[in-house]
Amino acid sequence: MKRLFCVVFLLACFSTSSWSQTYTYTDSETGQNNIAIGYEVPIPVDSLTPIEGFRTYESLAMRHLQLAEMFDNISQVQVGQTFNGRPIFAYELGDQDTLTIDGGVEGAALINGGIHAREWQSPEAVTGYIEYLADTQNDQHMSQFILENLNFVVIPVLNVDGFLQTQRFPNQVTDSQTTPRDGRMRRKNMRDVDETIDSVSDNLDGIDLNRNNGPFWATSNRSSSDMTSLVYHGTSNGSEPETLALYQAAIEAGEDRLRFYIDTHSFSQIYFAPYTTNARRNTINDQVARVMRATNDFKYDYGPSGAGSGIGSTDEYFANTYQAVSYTLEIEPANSNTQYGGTGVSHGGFILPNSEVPRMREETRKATMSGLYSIVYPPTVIGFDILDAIDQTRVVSGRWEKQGEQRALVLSQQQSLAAQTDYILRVIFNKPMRQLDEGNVVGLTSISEALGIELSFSGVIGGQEVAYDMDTQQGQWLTDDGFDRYKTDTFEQPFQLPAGFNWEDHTLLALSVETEDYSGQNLDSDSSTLADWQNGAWIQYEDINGDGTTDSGGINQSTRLINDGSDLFAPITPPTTPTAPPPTSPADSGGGGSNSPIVLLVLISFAVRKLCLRQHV
Amino acid sequence: MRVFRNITLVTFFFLAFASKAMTWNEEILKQQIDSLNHLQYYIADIEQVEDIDAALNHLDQQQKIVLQFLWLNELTSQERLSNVQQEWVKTLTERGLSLKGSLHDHPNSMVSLIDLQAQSKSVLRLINIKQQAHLFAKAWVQNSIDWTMWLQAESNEYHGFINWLKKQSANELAELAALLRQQQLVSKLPDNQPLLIILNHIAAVDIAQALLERETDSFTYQFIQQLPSMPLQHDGVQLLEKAIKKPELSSLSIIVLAKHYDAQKSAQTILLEALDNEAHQWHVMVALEKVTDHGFVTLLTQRLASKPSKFSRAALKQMAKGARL
Repeated sequence: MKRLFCVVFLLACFSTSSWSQTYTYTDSETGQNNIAIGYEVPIPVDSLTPIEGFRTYESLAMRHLQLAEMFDNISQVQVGQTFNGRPIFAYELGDQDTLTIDGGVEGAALINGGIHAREWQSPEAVTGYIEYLADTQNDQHMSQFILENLNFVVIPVLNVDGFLQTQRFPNQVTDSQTTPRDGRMRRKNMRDVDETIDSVSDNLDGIDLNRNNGPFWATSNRSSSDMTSLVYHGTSNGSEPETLALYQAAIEAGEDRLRFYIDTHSFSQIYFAPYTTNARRNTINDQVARVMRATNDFKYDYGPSGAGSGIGSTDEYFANTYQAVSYTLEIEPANSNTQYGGTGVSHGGFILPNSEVPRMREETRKATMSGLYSIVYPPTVIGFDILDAIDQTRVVSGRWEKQGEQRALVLSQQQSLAAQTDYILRVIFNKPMRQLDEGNVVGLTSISEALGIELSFSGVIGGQEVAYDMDTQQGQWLTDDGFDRYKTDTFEQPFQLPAGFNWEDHTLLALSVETEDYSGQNLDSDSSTLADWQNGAWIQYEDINGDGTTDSGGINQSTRLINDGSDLFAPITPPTTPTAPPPTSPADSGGGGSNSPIVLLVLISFAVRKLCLRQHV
Repeated sequence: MRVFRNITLVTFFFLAFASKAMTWNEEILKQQIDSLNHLQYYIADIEQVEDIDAALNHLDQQQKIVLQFLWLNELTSQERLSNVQQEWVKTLTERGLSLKGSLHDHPNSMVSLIDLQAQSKSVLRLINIKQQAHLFAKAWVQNSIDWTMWLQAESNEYHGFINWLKKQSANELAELAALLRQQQLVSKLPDNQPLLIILNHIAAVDIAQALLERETDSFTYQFIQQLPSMPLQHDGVQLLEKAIKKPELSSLSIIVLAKHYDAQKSAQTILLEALDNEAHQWHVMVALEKVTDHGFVTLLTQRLASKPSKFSRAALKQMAKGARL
């Protein structure tokens, strides 16, 4: 028996059987040329509205067009055509102008779907983004905020020819069980490929559009110059019409404003991200990924890769060309279809069961919306109102209004604030600050808290600093009435100033606000400058020291009710160059030097100034 | 002969060494499968578990996994397992053997190229489903079916019933449909798959209507999608008129009506009514590109042109697009 086995084995070692063969995916039917996946094989249907399952390309395209015709905030633009001449459409989502509500210039985001034909999760997920924003465009919350302040471009299906080929054969594949290729498992575009799977000579051909891009085109052994390879990179960088259509979409979005890109794939449940040589961009890339991952309780993993090399993927192109925050999102499952009770058959992860599609759509949508939200612009204070708590009349109010390239605080004061009087403070921010879950204000897991805000007035009386803290547990983010433009863009806080408070005594009185937005970004410390995005990082997004180049924000104390004209931030002293200490005599070495009394005096006076009268309101 | 033997031994050791040194990916896996493929039938005739160990002894760990993967594949196609095979498969369900590597799609992440634990569990499940199908067939012939057992959602019994159902002729399915009516079993089905299978072979309008009255699932969508090629295609319009009333089915029903039934007056009436229905009109708008019946196109054009609006303009554009296709 053993001898027979050895002979058979050795003969097998010399055989190289690699003929093409057609296999059929089934639920549980086995037998020759059947591949049982363990659940009903999804067959796409012609529904416009999302279903428990997958839609045909035709109905997806009709759906996109329907939404573009129905809503002014969505428009269709043809960005190119496929190798076989089919149109490739992008959809621009946003209001009609190119300005933010602050008067700044809107940023741009681009999301691509369906670059790899067999990854059916992708067009469904990306279409879900468009559908969601269409459904909720007037929500006075996150969606409206994104649409009013960002130019968001979506390509639902880039590799249209390939996607149609997979849908032509929704349960058939060629080549082998472990490395299925044409039919349902086509990945590449359709260059030099016919639309049948019977003619086996061409079913390995086509270009991998995610290996067809600069700056690392054909520089890695993870792409191939063999045209039958699954990762064939094509004859030149950007050789394919689909690749050029993607680049055209970036032009439509606004190349100089592009700051966010996702290429949407499946599977392995991870955000891949290419680093560039721009450290600040890389840090923001990590932060935004964390926000998107937190949205689904970190179910998705994160895999950044080092700068300076790559495989020719589109995320590398957008990261390096535009210094945009850039990802390859690999939708679930993490490993195989055993996650859904499937048989674990090779490549089964590409075949998400119909029943899982609605949940997948929702999870990817929530994560992506959080990512878009975080990249629109950082949070800051844009105004406040102090109302008499009894008659709700306005006592003092202020708005940061755009004047030229900056904002200026325009104050309106009906009367001075008085001691021991009930007031309501409303602090207004430039964006919705919290998410809503069935009407309840919520933060983001390990990123932001539902309440998460500290408020006080800080001031100066006779050269001494004073502060009046507020108990923000008594306050709330406004969701029904009283918010400024978006739900949760306003925090309402009841307060009373202590006995002895006298408005006229103050030479400076400022509102001090410490909080973060839903995505965990701290406040821009200086409301007078408009934060913006430039070369892969934020500019004029000041931290606690007034440094606008740290991308970290801080505490906002720039809203002054009484302004003494002093600098908002202490002057930043450049680091001094260390100099060699002068030689000391033995007599100097034990007593601290002759300057010690002066240093001591300076320190004491500094400490006295810092010991301000902090009174709890 | 001796030279040949030496060459083959060297080749074997080279392959064994190579498989050990490699970082696995799907291409290497394919090569290994090709080289071990002819050994997959060995498992079919296995007589004792020790023979399996002996067969695997010559291989390194990765090759062992590949060969066991091929054996499990081979067993999947069998109708039943011998005791020895079953024992071996059960041991695999407890051992957690897997071969990790990268797919070309994801060169940066390691996934399970082979997961023997999951695969062996699937083999047992698939064989069990086949056995259930045999048991159902027997009970069917003997007219001794206990439906409470066979209609439990997600059970192997139910999958066995479905497995049996898919292999039946139109006559058998008609008989089953009669039984479902007679014993009022339609409401007890865990999903709509049995009804879809029946309707793919016989024209049973009452079964189709019952399907549409049940909770919508993925088989309901398949039913509507496939309706124009089903035996009851001639009853399609009245069924779609019913389906259109369910919000989750309305857009699909409208597209099927426009694509396949637009020449029928009754379908045209439904589509014209849908044009006036706020919930449906935008579904009709995009579906108009599918309308080819000349008379209906003319009627629609006149009607839309008489009421200028954003909607009418979009609808006329869609019809013009349809004419170009």
